[in-house]
Amino acid sequence: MTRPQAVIAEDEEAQRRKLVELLGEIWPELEIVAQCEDGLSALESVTSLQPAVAYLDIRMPGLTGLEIARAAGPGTHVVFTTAYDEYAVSAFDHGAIDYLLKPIKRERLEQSVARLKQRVGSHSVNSTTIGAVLDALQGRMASRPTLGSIRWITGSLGNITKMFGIDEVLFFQAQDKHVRVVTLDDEVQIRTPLRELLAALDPEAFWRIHRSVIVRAAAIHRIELDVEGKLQLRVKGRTDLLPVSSAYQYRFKPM
Amino acid sequence: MARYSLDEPLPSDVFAGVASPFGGYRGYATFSWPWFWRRTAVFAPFVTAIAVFQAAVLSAQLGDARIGMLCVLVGVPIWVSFVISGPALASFVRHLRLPLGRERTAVVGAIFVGVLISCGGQYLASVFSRAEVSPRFSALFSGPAGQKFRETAPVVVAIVWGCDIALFFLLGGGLALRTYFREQRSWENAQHALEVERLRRQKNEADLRLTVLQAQVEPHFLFNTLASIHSLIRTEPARAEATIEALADHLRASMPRFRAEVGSTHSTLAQQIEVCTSYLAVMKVRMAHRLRYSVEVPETLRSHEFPPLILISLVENAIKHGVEPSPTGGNVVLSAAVAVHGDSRQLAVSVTDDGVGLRPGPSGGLGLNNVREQLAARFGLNGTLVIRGRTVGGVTATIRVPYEEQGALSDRAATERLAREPPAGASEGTPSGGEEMA
Repeated sequence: MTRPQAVIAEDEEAQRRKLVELLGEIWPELEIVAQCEDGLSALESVTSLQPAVAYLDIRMPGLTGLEIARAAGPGTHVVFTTAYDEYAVSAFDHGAIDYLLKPIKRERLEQSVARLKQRVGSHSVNSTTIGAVLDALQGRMASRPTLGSIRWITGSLGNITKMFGIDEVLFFQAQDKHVRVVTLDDEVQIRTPLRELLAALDPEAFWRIHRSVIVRAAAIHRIELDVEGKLQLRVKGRTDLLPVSSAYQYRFKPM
Repeated sequence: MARYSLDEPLPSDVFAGVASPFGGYRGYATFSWPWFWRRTAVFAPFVTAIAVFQAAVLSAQLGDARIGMLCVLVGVPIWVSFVISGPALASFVRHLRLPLGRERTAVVGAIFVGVLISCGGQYLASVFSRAEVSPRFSALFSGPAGQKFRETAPVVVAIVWGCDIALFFLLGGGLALRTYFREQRSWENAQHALEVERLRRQKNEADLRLTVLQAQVEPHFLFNTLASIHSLIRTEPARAEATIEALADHLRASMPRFRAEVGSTHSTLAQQIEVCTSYLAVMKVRMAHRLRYSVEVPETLRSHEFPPLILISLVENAIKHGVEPSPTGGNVVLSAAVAVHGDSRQLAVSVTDDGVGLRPGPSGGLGLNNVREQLAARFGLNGTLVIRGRTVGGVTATIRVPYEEQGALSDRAATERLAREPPAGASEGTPSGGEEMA
């Protein structure tokens, strides 16, 4: 029987060394084929070497352990290591994926190794289960856009990148391939489509008034008719004239 | 019921719009002596001018300067009595500080007594006029015209008296009655608003205190550091020791419950830099060559007051989003300077990194949002957080707060430091500006 192989991904050198040392004592047959200090090299090792076991730190430079686990082949058993269980991996303790809390305790690692020894060599875990578990974990981790979840907008103008608090933003205006983000005395461009912004902005604070415009309701200064009889909107402190399309005019009907 | 002082100016939101230079008396309680004297100072010259003008016209018509002088002597006191008698009586009444209901009745009574006095004055004026002025006119326009002048129809007399009484009422404090009746209510509303504002401020302060007390060392940081030490103890005991020392410094600096002044919402820039450098020192042991950092803060600015626990958020962000994700690591610089902003001066404290930089698009950023909220709660529009990508790569985050001239401030800071720190020599001493710790 060939020796089982393992990849270890941990960005801190001392902790990596410690894990290698512990594994050497507890599971001497295990052959550590790669030690990685960032997410990208871990991804490369896990996909190319197809190890039986992968010890993945969840937080790493480049890629997270979760992302690497997703790319791992069906023969690879993933063990996450994390200092602080913010993703509640513990909820999946008895499931498809094992985890170790740092600092890693010898008894806990022995327990984990015992379980892995039984599983190694089998495709005991079907990949759909793993996928589902990873989805759930990632769901806890990701800041998927929900209503009102945007607090900052990062954009650039020329080669200068700026980060605005969302409450500084007066309006968003789609232009060609980008979106203008305008504050009282500044503006940047982003590439996030208005549709996506709208899904994550507070609908009370920001109103869509045109196919190409989302405006902060509290910043509306006045509405005026142009020579062709179309509604236009001015924002406090700015000279921009924003179009209001007929579909959104109901917002401005007199009380 | 709460009563307010009659001698102090009213709170500014009790009365509205006294922008005119003659409206200053309205800043005092209606029918108070300060109000009365200020009002008299405005009204008396005005009515005196009317009386003098009347007399001048009369003496010109009659071609007699003596009658003019006489008219001034009689007319001016009578005119002045029109505008002051009611208000003077009402002010007298108010200063008796009767219960509110009785006071109101008495004030109205005083105004009407004032109207009566004015009527008396008007009567005296007409007696004077009939005795001194009318005969002269009769002499001037002898015949039927003079006769008609003397005998006015009773209806006309009644109308004239009616108009006079209305005028006396208006001039003699009648208009002020309206303000007077509203005043108690406005004052109570203003008191209420003050109270609400005071409570709001108190809550704000309590919130800040709570934030400071709840301040935590980021769990990921803490456990990862413990894991590091755990791994180092046997293989590299010296590094393990250094990490423990740095961690102890950081815990002491960042957790207010480990300090004497529990719950204080005040701190100095030096203290906040200490929180950051101890954090960076721990990270430095852990990340080794991947992290470099330096502090470029002039010694003179270190005693300036600076809100707790916001600078460390910026440093944590620089590490977490800038340096850690970068395979080559990065450099973190803490700097501070005084910047002129319009006509005021600001203390600008920056955290600069040369890591992976800002990722375009919307983001959640709760930690930074807390920084902004804290700044707003403390300084309103005068506390800002600006985050900018650098053209050379990386990010600069700058906090600006109002800059206060040293002196008074440094005295307090010095006292605080004396109370907190053991005598010189026992502590390691604050590192001076510009040191390189890479």
